[in-house]
Amino acid sequence: MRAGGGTVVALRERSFRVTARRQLLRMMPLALVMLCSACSVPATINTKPFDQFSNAAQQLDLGADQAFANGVTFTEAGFVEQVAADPKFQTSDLLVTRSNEGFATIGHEPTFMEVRKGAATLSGANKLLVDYAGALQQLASPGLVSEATFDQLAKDLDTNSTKMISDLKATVNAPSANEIGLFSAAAAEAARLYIEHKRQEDLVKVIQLNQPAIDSFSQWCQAGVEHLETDFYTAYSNQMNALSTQLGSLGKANAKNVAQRRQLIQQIVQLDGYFLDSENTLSALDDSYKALPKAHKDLETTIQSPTTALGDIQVLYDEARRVQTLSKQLESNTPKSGTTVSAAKAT
Amino acid sequence: MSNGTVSASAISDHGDKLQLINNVSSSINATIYLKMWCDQNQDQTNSDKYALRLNRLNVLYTTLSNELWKDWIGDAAAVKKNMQAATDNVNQSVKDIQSNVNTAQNIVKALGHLDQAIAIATKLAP
Repeated sequence: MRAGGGTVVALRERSFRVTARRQLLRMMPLALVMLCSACSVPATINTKPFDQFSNAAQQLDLGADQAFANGVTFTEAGFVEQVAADPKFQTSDLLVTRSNEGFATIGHEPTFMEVRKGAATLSGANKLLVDYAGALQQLASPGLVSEATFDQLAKDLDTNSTKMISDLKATVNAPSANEIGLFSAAAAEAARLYIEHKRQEDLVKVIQLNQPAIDSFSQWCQAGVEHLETDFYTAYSNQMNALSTQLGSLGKANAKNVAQRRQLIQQIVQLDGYFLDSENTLSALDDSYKALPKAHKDLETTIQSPTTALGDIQVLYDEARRVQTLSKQLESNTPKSGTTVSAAKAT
Repeated sequence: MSNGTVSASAISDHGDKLQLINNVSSSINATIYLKMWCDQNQDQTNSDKYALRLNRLNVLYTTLSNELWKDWIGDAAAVKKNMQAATDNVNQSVKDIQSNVNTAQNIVKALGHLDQAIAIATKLAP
């Protein structure tokens, strides 16, 4: 059967060829558009700031735990000195009893117990910061949109396209193996860049969206640390009062009391040193929480310009490291003699 | 991307209360200085007066400090909820990206299956 100068089979073959070319023509611009849209973003994310942010969150968590543990010990010693000199104080007030709200002392709850609860609460919140920083690190990690995955994708696409084109060879003008390979590589790279672009866009969006949560977290933590600093100061004053009373009871310096006076004065000097070191530690902890919002904002900057120097993440990291170092020093520098100081050490 | 956060205003501003306990703490320190001075100079009468004042200030401080700790611990729920929501947002983005990578892989797999269909179709063609 002939129609218009060709058989039906010939016409069908021509129709297949036209359709196949149209398909290729349709797919090429799509791949090109994906490639071009993705070209405006950096090929990969600089992950170092995300790693550093995550490390800093972990350091901060450990440092805060240590600083608050010291706070509990010190305010406990301060409380002991405060009530020891108070004639109205009843030891029965310290009896811990079960109530609807859990366990609590019968009398007015001592400050160190609230500090202990505060320490546990802050620790729980810091763990959430660590989780958050870890999630950001995962979203920025090279493994999520890995080049190896897309290299494999290009190979699979090449194999599948070659098979498909060879099946159609009888009916279409098949592209050569080189052309198919080029197309597969371009399509896989376009897909990778498109997803990379989407990933970077998502990272910027979540950082912006979560900034208020980080801001309020930072403010809340600062309030807790500043409160602990004040409790520390009060506990220090009460411990100094106890030592001074003991010193006063010895009377003016003379040959008989010089040894006892020396011991008490040594304790006062040690207490001063311990208090000042503690203040330094808490001040570094406060600075760490202050640096947190700016460091978080820095992460957004690093996506847009990966080579920019990121001072605030470094500040956060350095401060968090400093808290840890100071807390450890504080533990080893705890004064070793005297009633007040040994009470602090014992707990 | 959802934002299941609690507004910042729901978290108390502890600034004024912190300032208040700071002032009481400074008064305690100042009273102790005066008491120490009396102790050193064997002025027992004034030392006792300052000791009484110190006890009162300590009771006031403990009350205010404990209340403020309770407020602060109470705010933890909102702060933690916001942080959890922030982490959920990031995890959702990770899932979306993984899903995009899976989609690209599935398209290539589908092309493999399409090849089998075309092979059959070309054999059936007249």
